[in-house]
Amino acid sequence: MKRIISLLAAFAVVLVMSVPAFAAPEVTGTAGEYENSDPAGVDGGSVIEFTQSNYVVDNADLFTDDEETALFEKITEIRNEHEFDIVCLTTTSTDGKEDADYTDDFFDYNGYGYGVDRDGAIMMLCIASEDDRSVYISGRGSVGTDVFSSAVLDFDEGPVFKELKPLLSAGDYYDAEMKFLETADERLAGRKSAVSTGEYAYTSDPAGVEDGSVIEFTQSNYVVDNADAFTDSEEAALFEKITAIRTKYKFDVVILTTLSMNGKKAVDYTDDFFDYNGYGYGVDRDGVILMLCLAGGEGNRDVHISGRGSVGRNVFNSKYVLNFDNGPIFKELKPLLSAGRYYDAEMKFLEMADERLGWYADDIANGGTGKVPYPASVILKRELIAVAVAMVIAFFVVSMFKKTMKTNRIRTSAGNYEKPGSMRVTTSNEYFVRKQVSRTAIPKNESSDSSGDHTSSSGASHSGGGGKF
Amino acid sequence: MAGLLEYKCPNCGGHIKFDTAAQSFKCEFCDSVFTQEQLASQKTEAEAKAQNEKSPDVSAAEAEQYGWTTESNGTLGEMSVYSCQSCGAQITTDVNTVASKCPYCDSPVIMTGKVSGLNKPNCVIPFKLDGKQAGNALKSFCRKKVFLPSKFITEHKISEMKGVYVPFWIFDADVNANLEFEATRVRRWSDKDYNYTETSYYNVTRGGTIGYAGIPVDASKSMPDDYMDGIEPFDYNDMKAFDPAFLAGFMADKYDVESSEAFPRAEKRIKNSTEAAFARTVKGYDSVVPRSSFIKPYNSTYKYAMLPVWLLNAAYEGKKYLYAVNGQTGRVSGTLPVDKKKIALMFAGITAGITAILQYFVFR
Repeated sequence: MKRIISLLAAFAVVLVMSVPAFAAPEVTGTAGEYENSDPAGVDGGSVIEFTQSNYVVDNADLFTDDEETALFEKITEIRNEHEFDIVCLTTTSTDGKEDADYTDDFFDYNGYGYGVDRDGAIMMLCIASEDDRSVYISGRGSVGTDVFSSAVLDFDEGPVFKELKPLLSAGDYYDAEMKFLETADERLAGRKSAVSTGEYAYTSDPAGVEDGSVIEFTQSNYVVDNADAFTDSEEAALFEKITAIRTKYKFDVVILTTLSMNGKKAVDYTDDFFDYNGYGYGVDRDGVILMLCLAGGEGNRDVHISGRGSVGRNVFNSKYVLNFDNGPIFKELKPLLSAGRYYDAEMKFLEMADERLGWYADDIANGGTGKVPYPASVILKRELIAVAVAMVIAFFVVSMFKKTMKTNRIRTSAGNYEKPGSMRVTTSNEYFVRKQVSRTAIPKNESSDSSGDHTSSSGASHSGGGGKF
Repeated sequence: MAGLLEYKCPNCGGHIKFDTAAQSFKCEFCDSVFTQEQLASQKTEAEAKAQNEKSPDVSAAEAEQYGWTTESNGTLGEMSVYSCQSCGAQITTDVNTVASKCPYCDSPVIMTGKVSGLNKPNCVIPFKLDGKQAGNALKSFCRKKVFLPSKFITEHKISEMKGVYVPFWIFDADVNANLEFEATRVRRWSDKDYNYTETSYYNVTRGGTIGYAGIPVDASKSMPDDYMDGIEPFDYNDMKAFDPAFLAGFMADKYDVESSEAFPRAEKRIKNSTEAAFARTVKGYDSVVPRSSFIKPYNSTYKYAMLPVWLLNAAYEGKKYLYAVNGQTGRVSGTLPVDKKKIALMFAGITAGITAILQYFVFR
């Protein structure tokens, strides 16, 4: 008798405990209309509560409970590791909508997406019948659209569906979802490491988005102090200035210090860092980066500034502004860098960038072309040379014509009186006498590197200038 | 043997002159045309007559006797005096004058004594251009001269135009040449520290022969050499054996520069050309510098020739200008006045133009 009661009691307890599971509200796309159509996410999370039932929405009942739990575990891992939302959604119908719309709306209108940018991705499986099955993956936020770009999500050739398609066709839905989550984890991890070491997992050149950069606008991303040249407060101050510039001019300024250029030349290292990490504001990817490599002793450190985008290459043009020998920027920076005052140098750079971007903006506002004018002294010197060259040419031409005014002159040759064919060379000798070698030293102080306008390895056009200090 | 020759037309008694257009001998008055052979008889007559006449040349002693001063046109103080056979006037000419015209009656006279015997020219190129054509040649010369003052063509006045046979020595020479050059070949390369230049020096010799023919040297001290050089070359295909008849109607002087005096000028020209010709055979070097040359003419011969030259004295804005026109080819030598304003204008214009083109590079 006691045994039956304890069994009954246990059964009751289990029943009671499973009530919440059955009572969990079914979250569907259309039914779950949120009050605001597109609620902004908050810093440090999503609007929607982070629960298994919210993030593993198995309306088509493709997974077992255990599978759902396992999926949610992975989703949680990813969220903690990368601050990124992943949603798994299965359904039997897309309610008459296109797959893309259904999936996007589900993500947007339910408040998914981590952080202000609402970074996240959602994989939707619609199994209407054995014959009618579809899958759709969508990414959101700068990270989401970067990690799951259209190229990555290409259904025919993209890497993600290449893996998923066999599994899905075979009906291994759980395996497919797990594969999806693993892929997401990998890609997010690769992206993060790329930012800190400067090697991006992607080999292609991700396009910038309309408003902002592909890479997240954070202090750690925009003041990359790998050589530990700045204190924390200095870094914060630099980032403050960078933010001000970004807000005012919609222009990216990146500060990078390092102890190694990975064997690359300064210009390549700097350009690649900028290109492959997704810096650059807007579709044109306007921005400038100042790179300091502090490995090596005095006189052997490298500085390089590279500009990108039409604004970047114009305001920081190679021929004059970034000219290492006599351009205005390096004129100010060189003494500070040689003295080891790196923070002061960076601040000076940011001030000059702010000023020059201001001139550019004013010039554009006044209908100008925005081209940086050379200073008067340079123009004057060039004009004088031009006039001098012109005068020399004019002198020669005038002399030539003047000569025709006088034809009475003593002749010194008898060339036209030579009897044709009368010349006979009867002796002809050529002896080697001596050899002499002289040499001149090549000036060693090749302090400026060969920058100027160039195309970087990613195919982007950069302006550049830099050298040793 | 002095003799004065005035060719007279057997038909009308007028003066016969060499006609450039017809390239033959024509009577001034009745236009009758004569050949060289026909005139030859008049010449022998005159020469025969001359045996009996006194030389018109006056020596310094005689001049003193007559009370004449002995300074004369840059000669040795000797002058010639003769009487015009047409009008009887007493004419004084330079001792070297061979052909001239009576300033009173314009009748041409030839002093055969000056062009006979040792003084006889070997050949002559007859005039091809008459005075009018010479004037036109000068006008053509003025065309397309950028700095010529625009008024020159219309305002210059030709105060005197003389058709003159200028005496020339014409040299032919074969030449032995031995030349030495220093030649270099340069090789350049660099390593990361230095730029190297290696110069290899070679001693190059060339020897041989070369020939020249027809080098003219002006044999008259009073003719400026630069003008005579300026109207070169003459076409020797038109050269004819000398006959005093060709001189009729023109002025002529005999030489006063000996051939030995004149030859060094030809030699200099030969030397320069020979050096250049042999230097051209030295190939394959980066630089060739002549070090020594030994050039010796052998087989040199010379001719005494009368070459036709029109001398034009022009005046423009108070200044005198001399022009020599090659009486055969029309080539003009002389100095034209220069409009300083035009020079300044061209200089400024080109400077401005080129500066404008270079603006692209100033503002790059």
